Amino acid sequence: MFDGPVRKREGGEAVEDTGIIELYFARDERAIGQTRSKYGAFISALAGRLLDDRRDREECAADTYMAAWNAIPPQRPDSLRAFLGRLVRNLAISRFRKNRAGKRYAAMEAQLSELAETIPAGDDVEREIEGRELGRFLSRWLDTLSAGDRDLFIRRYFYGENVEELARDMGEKPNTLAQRLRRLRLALRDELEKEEFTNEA
Amino acid sequence: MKPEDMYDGVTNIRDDLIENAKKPKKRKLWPAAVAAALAVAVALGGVAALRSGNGGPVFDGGGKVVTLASAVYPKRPAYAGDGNGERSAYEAWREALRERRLDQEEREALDTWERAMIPALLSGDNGENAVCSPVSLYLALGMLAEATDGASRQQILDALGADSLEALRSQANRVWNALYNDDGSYTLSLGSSIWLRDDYSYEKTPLKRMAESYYASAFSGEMGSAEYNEALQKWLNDNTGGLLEEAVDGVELKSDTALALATTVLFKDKWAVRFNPGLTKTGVFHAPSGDVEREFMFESGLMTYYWADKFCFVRLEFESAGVMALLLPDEGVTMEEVLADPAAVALLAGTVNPDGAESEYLRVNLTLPKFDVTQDGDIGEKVRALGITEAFDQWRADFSPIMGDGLSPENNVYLSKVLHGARVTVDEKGCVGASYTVMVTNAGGALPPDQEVDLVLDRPFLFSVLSEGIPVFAGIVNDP
Repeated sequence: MFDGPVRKREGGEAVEDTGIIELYFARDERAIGQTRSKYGAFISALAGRLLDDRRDREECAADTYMAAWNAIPPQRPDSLRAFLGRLVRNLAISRFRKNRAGKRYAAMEAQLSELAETIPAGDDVEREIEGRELGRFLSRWLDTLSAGDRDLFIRRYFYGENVEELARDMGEKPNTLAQRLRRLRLALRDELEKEEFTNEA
Repeated sequence: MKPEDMYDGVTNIRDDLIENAKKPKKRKLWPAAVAAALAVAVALGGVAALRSGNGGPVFDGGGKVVTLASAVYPKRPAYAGDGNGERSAYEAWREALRERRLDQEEREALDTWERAMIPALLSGDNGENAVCSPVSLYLALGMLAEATDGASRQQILDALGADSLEALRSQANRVWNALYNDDGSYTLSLGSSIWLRDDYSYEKTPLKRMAESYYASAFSGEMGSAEYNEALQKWLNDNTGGLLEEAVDGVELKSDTALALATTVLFKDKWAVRFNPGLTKTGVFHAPSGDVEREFMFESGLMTYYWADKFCFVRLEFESAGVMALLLPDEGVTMEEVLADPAAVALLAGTVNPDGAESEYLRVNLTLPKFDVTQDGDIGEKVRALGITEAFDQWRADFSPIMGDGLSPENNVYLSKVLHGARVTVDEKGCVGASYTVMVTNAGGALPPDQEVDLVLDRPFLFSVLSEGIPVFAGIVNDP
């Protein structure tokens, strides 16, 4: 029996993630409500940054709750925020893959074309890379960066914030920031090259 | 390797990297503030003729307005939710935010006054727009309690649901800190001030407590002089962003005023999700005085929709933690009937799932008029309706904690007026509706909603602006 806190009013102390996850495990539908309560704004904002189409965004956010319901259990996320963020990103790119011919995906395309720069020249495009392996590699690489560069990279490429937004927030010129991002992408490419990144890396 | 692989790689970076990256700012849709509102409440006492020389002038202002004390606002870590600073700065900011939040028990302790004030302040709208700031009045009454004693004080404590002056003081301080926000992410600015005569000696203790717990500044000057009134008006305008200038012009202290207490609220926030300006169009609003043409905004989104036998209700989310509550009475139901309905008042006061209202998470096609409502005047009668009567009684009011015991009965100080003005604007630039509301629902569940409703606010409706679940503003829109 779950006896965790249940929010009665908005703005209240956030419910602990472990309490929400217990609700999922108990197949208690309040799990969805509490997830929405605590992470709804985060999910909508992330979907909004990755997808241009309004309906896409709404559906992506709605699908995230469903996906969380279906994934927990068996999964038991350590960080619900990171877990939900990954769901949103995965759902967003699936929409892009499915509908790219018929819809505008400027935000996603901008991200992908920037990320293309990180791929070492001569890399075999057919080579399959497992996302989790690459994730581990990227995490290690991010650890070596300064706090400012690390945040910049994650905000741009995980959270999907655009350069103008980031520049405004950081009080820098968009051009300056774009160049800083480019340097980061090239540094990542060098690192991938150096490590001869493969499936086994 | 393809760019999409890299995207997947980024998706799979470690949890702590995702968690610790500076929280991205929500999308800035408009450079300017879009929804703005403010309120000002002035409570003042009057005496027929103050004996001058009672203790002599404390401060020799020489007819000038003297600032006795400037409010010292609590130091807080700078907003670091979006910036470029160190991670430790971000953590300090987050931690401070967490500490400021009210817990559920503290929140429930506010129910008494929240639920009493909304109907008391909004009743008797007579088909006109009505708007008030419950929290501004709450803080003004809290300061008034510091200045009074005996039955005068007890009635204020009762109306505010506080056991003791100490309990009220600490609760008000918690409310102030939970609401006040100046860290750059959104504006919820609170101001308090005390306006004293330069020819009278006041007791220091209540002034000190108002400064410490209500962050009140104190001023001294020649009561009734043009200069002093200008200083008061300037303070009010500065603290309300100039949004209430017309109303503030009418705020004047007379030569027989013993002291005045003022509180202000200024609120600016953007919708979490904007209304599509392309969908805004002119339509008919059925005002009590007849049909009028107004601009209506449209938004379709998933949200929790509430209904009861007299009304329906939704919440629109702001970028901050706040929401705007919108309550549409069923056709033929009067505002008075709705304001007498505990479920309706509870929803406007910030309770999420009150008894007596059903809710469902579904698609709402919302049609909302842009509006700009203002109200100002003496709300003394409404404050009396809250059970606060003694302080208004010339012969029985007890202001001894601040005035001292030196006054003769004929010169007794009493509360003569409570001037209150408020304005809430919801204009197109800022008006953005929420696709998702942040709340606990008892419906919705795992299945995507297959129902949808049209909610058309084309006749008089009620609203409240809630931050931290506290009604900062409440109002009736009879004509947007």
